Amino acid sequence: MQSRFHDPAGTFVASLFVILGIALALETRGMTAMGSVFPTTISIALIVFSAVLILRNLVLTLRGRGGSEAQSDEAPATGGSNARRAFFVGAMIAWIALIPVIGFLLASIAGYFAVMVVAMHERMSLKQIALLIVLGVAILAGFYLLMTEVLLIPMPRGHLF
Amino acid sequence: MDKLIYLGEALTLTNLMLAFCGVAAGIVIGALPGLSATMAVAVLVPFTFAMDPASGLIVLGAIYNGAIYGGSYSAILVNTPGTPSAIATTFDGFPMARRGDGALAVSLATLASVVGGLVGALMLMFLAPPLAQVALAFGPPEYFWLAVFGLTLISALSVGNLLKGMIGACLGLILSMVGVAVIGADVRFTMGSQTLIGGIDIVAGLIGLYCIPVLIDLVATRDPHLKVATNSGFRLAESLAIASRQKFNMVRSAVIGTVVGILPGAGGSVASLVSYAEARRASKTPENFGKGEPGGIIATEAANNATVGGGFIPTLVLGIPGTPPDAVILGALFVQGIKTGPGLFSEQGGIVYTFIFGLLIGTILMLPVGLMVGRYAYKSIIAIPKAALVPTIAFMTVVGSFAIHNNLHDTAVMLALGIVGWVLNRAGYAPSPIVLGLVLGQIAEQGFVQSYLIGNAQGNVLGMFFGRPISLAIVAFAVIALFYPIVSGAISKRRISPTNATVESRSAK
Repeated sequence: MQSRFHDPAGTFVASLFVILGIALALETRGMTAMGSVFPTTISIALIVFSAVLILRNLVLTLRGRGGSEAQSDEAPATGGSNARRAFFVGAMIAWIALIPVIGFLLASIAGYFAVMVVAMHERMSLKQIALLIVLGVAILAGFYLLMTEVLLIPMPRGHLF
Repeated sequence: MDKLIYLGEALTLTNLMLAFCGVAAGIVIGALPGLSATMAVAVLVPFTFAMDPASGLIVLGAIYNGAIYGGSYSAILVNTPGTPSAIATTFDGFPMARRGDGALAVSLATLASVVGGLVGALMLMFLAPPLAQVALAFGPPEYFWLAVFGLTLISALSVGNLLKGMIGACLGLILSMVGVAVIGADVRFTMGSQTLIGGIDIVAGLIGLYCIPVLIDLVATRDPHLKVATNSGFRLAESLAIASRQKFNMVRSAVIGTVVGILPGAGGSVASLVSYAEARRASKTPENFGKGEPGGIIATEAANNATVGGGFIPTLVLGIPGTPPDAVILGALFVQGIKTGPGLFSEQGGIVYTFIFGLLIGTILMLPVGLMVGRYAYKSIIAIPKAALVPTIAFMTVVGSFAIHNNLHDTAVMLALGIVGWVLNRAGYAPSPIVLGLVLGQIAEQGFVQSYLIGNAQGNVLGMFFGRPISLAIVAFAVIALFYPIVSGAISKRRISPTNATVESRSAK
């Protein structure tokens, strides 16, 4: 029987943290004594904890206790569509990137409805879709007015508007 | 007798209406992630200049109280603390909402907030001058150890893997160091980017780390966001029964909240984390904390609302604001011609006591207003289809992170941290230790470096950290909080094991 590595994802991330810790610890050499004492300590702690985790997982693998770690209550939901996840992240990045170009309101309208399409799982009637659009526009306009007129927050304007 | 006259002055119809509106406005603003209590108070301060001093202060106190309480809604219903004070509310609030107990969680948060607010305001009324001395007794080492005490919560939040919790906390501490150093002014870990010089904002980090991963997983499946509750309504009787069982936890958390609120700069987030750690330590079922334990919500919400009254103690007696909203209110006090200081309670007692009674009235009004708004918010979150809920929450994350400093960079940081948080969560690194590190990092570093410098100058660094009575008491609590669950677990296992052995031997027969 082929032995499986214990917690491969956690170990991979821990190895990235070791590299990050080393890079950060090296960066602290250019800082003053006062500014570097805390970051140096924490960078070293990051390296040590990550190294211990990697070592522990290696030992557990050698003992034949392969597979994934027991997850905490904060563990994410497994399964579902990864394509939707990727589209959601893409839509959010585009939303924020577009704000300086086309302004807050227009970018938010585009982003809001793009995310709505990604989050839509069931077939809807035209009436339901119309209702969702009206609801969306009302929420966007309501919040925009709250921000600009009541809280007097200067919302970003784009190059176009 | 004098106090009764002031109570009468606070109980006018105008003041009651103002307190009602203030609480409602505060709840709505506090519930929206990114819009903080400080912002709510700051935006509405100019409106109070036209009012008489007592009424103006009553409105500000009511808004502040409402905003701190409002932060619990989004923490419970969408796993995003509306204000940093509600970070610890997500630990048990969201798991409760996910299993269909959202209404119960909101009712419990309301009751605890009301009790916490009342305890804080009563301590402000009767114990303000002596308690203000506590603020002066707290030096850099005490702040450092207080932050360390908060960090001991990692042991509670890292169920199954303490090492990953420690790594997450280190990452959070490193994130808190990005930008210009608090002491020494070094520019650290900005990767050459000018936008990171200002550092990573705690609220942007909170929204990103807690909310974006939830949204990423929410779009992936057809399942509803929260389980629909089988029994509808406020579940007030059930909440009252739980609250009465947890009365000691509630009062203890409120007292912790008031005392931490007195400390300038510590604030509601530290208060709620410390009281959460204490509630977990004292609980008979510490293993349930973080999985939807009502005691966790009671502890955090009682503590964070108690910081309102606690924060006013140094503000009014010493002129030192205990929390950021207090700083804004202090400005409003000066505009109204009120001179803060030890003599305030005797020289301008009329205004001060009317204000404190107003605070009490506002806190009591939070019960009906909070229950109504909470019920409506919970029902809406359940009723709204996913296709409308996800983009609305996504929009709120964008608006909320932007509104912190009116800066899109905060929004970009929020999204980046959210994506990183989701990836890390997949690999078993939970977001809460990272958030703890981010929130407590600056307090810990400032306390540590200042203590080190003072100790070094005095030639007694160790004495600075370990030779002060308050420091030692906090260290003792931190050690107990860290190791108590392990020790008590081992003891209970030892107690159970003979019984188990008997059962096993019987079943073997």
